[in-house]
Amino acid sequence: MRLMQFPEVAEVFMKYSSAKLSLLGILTALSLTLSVLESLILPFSVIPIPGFRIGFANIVILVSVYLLGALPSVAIVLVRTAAVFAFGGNLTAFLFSLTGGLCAVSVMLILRNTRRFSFFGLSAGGAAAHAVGQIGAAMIITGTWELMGYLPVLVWISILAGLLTATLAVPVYKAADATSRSRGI
Amino acid sequence: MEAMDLSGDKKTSDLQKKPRYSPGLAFCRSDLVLVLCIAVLALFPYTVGKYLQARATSEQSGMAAVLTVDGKEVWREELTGLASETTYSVEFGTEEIVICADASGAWVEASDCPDQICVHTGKLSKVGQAAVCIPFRVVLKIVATNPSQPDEVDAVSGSCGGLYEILFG
Repeated sequence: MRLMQFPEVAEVFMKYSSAKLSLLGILTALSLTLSVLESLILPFSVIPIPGFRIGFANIVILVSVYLLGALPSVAIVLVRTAAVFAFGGNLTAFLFSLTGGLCAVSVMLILRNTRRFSFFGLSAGGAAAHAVGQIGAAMIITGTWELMGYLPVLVWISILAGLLTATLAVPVYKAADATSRSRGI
Repeated sequence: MEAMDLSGDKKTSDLQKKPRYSPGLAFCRSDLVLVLCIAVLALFPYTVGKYLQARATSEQSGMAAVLTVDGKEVWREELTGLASETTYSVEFGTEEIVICADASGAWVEASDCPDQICVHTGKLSKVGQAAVCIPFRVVLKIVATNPSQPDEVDAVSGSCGGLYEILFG
């Protein structure tokens, strides 16, 4: 009930059905789990590309962009980055994933609303936006323009990672979509 | 804003059970166009940087190592004609980062940062190369020095120079 301290925020979420709210909770927990699991099984020593992660949490965002809509997707990103930070992240990593995540989810929502792109386009666009947001944050924090030279490499591998996560997200979406329809979310 | 509410952000739409927009689940042609556009656009800042670097290098008369912390320059050493190896260190509480320079280049000798990427970047010997340590917000870069236009050219010449040498630390 802590949310009640922010009436405006609470009011937005009060409009949701409880089925939708619980789906939001499940997806948030899932994205947090995927995020933590990824840093455990694929640490920097396995993929030695600075600032790059495959981004399995992206699977959850893809599903929520279609099933839940704009605001819940942004909420998932905010809660995930804040929770990863709270469970022993460092401040720079937090700022990077926050700017990257918000850029990614905005681009994915815009691409969804054009209705021209499939899962794969959304995922690749979001991953590229994540890379751009991250490098932007790094350039602002260090005050170095040089980091822009790293942009092409990071964007290219991010696109590949985005296509990979989209492939993984397709069965997840199908299952979540079928369940949510039968529950009337 | 109406389009944002497609997936039923309001209780009314939950009740009415509007058909939800379902995405395409297969890679389609518009995806390919999008991916190619992004991939090409990502090259743009790099190309501009290369051009600026090429222009600056042609005017260069020497090179200098510049160390910045939080974007502020704290140390600058003229490398061309440097007689002996010099070291410089910056302390952050109990941790420190040590920089070395000689006539052929500059490098991060040691750092107490967790991932050591700045150290592994190795020796920087060309204009535009940089070693970046994000935890300490330290950047070591090589800039061209030109007595007639000192700082302005330097600021630009470094941009996007050595593509693969640039690493987060």
